[in-house]
Amino acid sequence: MNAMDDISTLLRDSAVDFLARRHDLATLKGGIGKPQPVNRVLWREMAELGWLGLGLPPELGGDEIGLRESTVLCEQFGRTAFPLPYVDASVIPATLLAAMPPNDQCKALAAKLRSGNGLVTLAWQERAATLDDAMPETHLEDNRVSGKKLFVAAVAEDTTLLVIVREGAELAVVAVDASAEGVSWQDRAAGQGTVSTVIFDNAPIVGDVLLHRERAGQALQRALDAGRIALSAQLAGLSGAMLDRTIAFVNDRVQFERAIGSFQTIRHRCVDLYIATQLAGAAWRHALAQFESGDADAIATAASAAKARCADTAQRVGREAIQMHGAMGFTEEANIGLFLREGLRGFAALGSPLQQRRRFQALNSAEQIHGSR
Amino acid sequence: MAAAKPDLNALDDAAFRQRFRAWLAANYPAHLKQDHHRPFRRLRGEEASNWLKLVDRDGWRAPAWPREHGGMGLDFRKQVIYHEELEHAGVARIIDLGESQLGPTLIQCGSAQQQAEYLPRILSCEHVWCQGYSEPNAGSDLASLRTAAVRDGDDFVVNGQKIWTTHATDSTHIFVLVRTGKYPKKQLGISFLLIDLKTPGITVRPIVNLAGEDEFCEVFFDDVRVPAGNLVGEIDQGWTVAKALLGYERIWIGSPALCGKALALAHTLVREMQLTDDRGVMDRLAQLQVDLHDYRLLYTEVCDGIAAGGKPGPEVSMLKVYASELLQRLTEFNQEVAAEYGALVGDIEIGSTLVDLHWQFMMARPVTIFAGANEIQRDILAKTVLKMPE
Repeated sequence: MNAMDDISTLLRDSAVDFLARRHDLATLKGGIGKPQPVNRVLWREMAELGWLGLGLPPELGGDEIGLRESTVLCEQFGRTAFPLPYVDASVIPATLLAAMPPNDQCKALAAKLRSGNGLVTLAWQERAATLDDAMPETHLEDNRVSGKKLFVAAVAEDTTLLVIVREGAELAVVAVDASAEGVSWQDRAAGQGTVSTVIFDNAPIVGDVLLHRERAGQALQRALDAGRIALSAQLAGLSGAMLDRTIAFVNDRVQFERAIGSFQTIRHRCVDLYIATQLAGAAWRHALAQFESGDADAIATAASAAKARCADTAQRVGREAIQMHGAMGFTEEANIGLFLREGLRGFAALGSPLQQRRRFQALNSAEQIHGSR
Repeated sequence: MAAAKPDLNALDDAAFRQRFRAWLAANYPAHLKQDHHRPFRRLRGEEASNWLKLVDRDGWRAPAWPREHGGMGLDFRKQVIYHEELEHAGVARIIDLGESQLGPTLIQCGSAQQQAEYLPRILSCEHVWCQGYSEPNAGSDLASLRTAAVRDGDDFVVNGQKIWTTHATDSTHIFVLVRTGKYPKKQLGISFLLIDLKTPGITVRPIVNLAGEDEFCEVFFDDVRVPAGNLVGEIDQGWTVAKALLGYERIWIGSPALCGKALALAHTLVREMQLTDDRGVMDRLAQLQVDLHDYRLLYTEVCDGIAAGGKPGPEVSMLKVYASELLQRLTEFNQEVAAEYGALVGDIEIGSTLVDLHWQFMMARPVTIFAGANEIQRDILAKTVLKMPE
């Protein structure tokens, strides 16, 4: 336990240092609504720091550390509204690759992910408001993929897409290079980041099918839940940072000859937001513990609870933070709104709180509700 | 004194849990369990004493007290398990202030003589204690209390009035905060006194609450003579004596147990009202479900922190705030989804379930008021945890 705590402490210090040196909130300004490419200079530095591909098994070049360490980083990314798609282009693909047989193709994908030279991302979703898209329309025939995927992060010329497809009546995972013939995409700004609609028109896959049938479905669910947990940590970090910034602001801002933080209405609001952030922390840490030792349903239950809690909290804290910053809070200059916008993508990504709660309810309490009287 | 009790703290946590669970299953009377009809059932009077005597007989009394004072001497982790098992078994709550508050206070601040006289009688239920803190003009602003004690020879003479004294009519004794001196800082000059309720000059008057119960009372003191030896701690330092245990009180008062009972009732109600296909209702229920799920996690984290050697800090006020407001939201949901039944006062059957929706709704009203109103708790949190200016 101590060794793991040490790694976590080192990683956190390293993340704090990196973000202080290399991330400037000013870079998030002036581009509202414009899709931003992944900053490759920073992405490669993250690779050099050993942050990419945490969660890969040793056979794939990983080093026995995984989601716990990713959440340490994600929390700090949240605290600084760092927009790079770490969850999408490291946590999720690493978790998916970890479920695959460690053949040469898989090793090559893992090496690409870890190197930071080029991107690896997951393309699974085909409609809004779904948690798993149980059977996709996108299909595989003669090693070629056709279909459309939505809300895919980290798509660029040098991206390899891990695509969830239907092969006959079965689920499968294949790799398709974004640069391959028949692949096209359109970028949209989402939060402070970018997501793309990707169209596959008879696009060739790389090598062989990576995962088949039940194993593909199980691996997908595990990867998405890992993403939900890491994203929850990021949203909790975002929430905590917004609250800290707001408390600093209201303690400093003087009106009516008093710091506005001395007004009970402001104090009590901040306390409620503080309690919300504490619940968020407890929820994602529990989900992480479940990921490390629980079965798939326990992981799903806890991941959905965490994602619902942390996403709601980030929005709530963000909205109230804007209000407590007053008119200044509505400006781009004030920074606080950048955090709120960053929270918007995380709010929806991998399933909104409403959907997460429905999944939680179905998994957690069907028996209590429907009973057996 | 009975023969030395076995040291249950020596068991490992799982064995301890199992032993207590089995004992409760074998001994707690089924008709006194919390259920959908009385999800927050409390025992008082003889029912409470009879149960506590049984608890004492078999060595399960006073989990937090040191063994040398007749308690179980459980570490904090096992105390949490103890409370979890009471919840699991549906054991009704007992406002046993002698065990939960006065005993620990005497162990920390009382004289050897006070400990010898009072602690065994708390355990045996010969003495049943109530707490006299609030007054008509000293509620949230407790330090403004005015009930006065004036030294006269070997006695204090007490005059004044206490209010919201829970179960005073079932009690034999009361511990009170009284004003003994005047200082610029009003928390000074308060003293902590032990008073036998049979002392001449004391009048107890029950107050009926919104749930139709006479749980709390007014207690009037008219030239009541209290032996000086009943002063706990130093004269004028009663505030410090009373505050010594507040952190732990807020831990137990933040327990998710009652919310769990209210949510179980919610589950039954949506089924009996045939609302399980109503997406609006089920989504609202899902919010309450995750709220309690996440709150249990937070509660466990805080308890784990204390079990690992921490002390309850001011942040534990958040537990009381959140749990009490969640309990209200749950009971409001229950009242609302029952539609017209929710307006019926008293026992009703919904489907095959006996409920009293008015009772559960009203019993959840004071939880945000007592033990430091939630507004006060928020002030404490803003000042001490968030370091916001006053």
